[in-house]
Amino acid sequence: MSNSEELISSLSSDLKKVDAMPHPLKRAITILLIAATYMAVAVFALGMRSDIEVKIHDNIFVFEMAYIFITALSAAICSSWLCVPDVRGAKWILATPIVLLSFGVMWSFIHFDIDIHKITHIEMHHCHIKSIIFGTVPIFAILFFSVKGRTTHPYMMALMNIIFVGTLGYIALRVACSSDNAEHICYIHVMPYLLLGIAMAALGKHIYRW
Amino acid sequence: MSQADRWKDLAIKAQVGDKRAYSELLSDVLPFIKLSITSKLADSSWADDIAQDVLISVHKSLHTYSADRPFKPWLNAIINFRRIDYLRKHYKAREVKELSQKNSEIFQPNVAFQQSLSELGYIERAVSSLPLKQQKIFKMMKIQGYSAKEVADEMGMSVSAVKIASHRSVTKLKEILGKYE
Repeated sequence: MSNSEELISSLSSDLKKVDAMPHPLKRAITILLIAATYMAVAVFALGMRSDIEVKIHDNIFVFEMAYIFITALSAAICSSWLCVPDVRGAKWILATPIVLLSFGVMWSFIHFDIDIHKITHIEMHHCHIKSIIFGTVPIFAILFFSVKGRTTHPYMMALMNIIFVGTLGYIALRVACSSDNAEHICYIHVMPYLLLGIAMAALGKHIYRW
Repeated sequence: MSQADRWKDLAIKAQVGDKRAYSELLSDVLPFIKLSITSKLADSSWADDIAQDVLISVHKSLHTYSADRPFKPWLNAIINFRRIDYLRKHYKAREVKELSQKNSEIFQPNVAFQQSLSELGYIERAVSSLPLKQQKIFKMMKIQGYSAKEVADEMGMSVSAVKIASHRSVTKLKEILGKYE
């Protein structure tokens, strides 16, 4: 009996009934519901920005929130699709959150006139704590669902997961923090998620190892 | 029934725990896996190792196969992933490989048959050329005498995965040591 035949015999004797994974869309919606519900509760618990009633009538603010939410949704969908080795034959969907995020960042730079030279030092800010609070449950939720699948794209999976957590966290911070200062948003709100993204990218292969 | 339909059918049966269908599926896809990778490898002798990795990966990811999708693209994605992963590990290991037995004097007081010292060196070198996980499993099972179950518990692996790794390490050692005969 050759090695491969022995292996086949060993794997076959080990076989147990497996529950096929639910459709990725169902998984994406579940992840989004868990994360969004948690964030909504967290925002209510920590308190919304004082001018929220004015802001919800500000078209640019509403557009920004809707745009970021769509980016988060597309990242959750991609993350679920990536749990299947062949991405269900729809690799093109991976471009969606990346394109949305790229346009979002470009739009922010143009619209908010961000000057990257204005920030000379970064210090601990209460928004950092909020960003950690907002990100905790979503990151664990998406990691829990991700590792249940078997990705053949660990780095892409890490990227999608951090886009998902980062964009949802961004929405929560914009609703909770009354600062509209572009540099504050960039460096205080986005920075923790950026660092988390770098960490996840570095650990991608270990996190999604199989 | 076409080959693609047959594999799909067998995979669906395997998901509900049909061992015979699963064995048939794995036996059926094995030549396909080898054929897909052999032409893309610098050394065709790696094909067996990669094919076995693919089979283990199919086993681990069977739950991700969806009955409404064709089987072949799913399998091909795993084959490509495992091939690239194997090559990456292979070339990385080649760069950092170093022999741990530099000073044979260390072994002199502990080896009963001094004339076997050179053979010990061969064995030690052969064992150290195995991947770290296989080295650990080999040492625990074959030198320290732990059972597959105990090793599986220690390493957080399934018993069958430990047995497979142990078997593969022994086969590799035989191959390596055969060169010194």
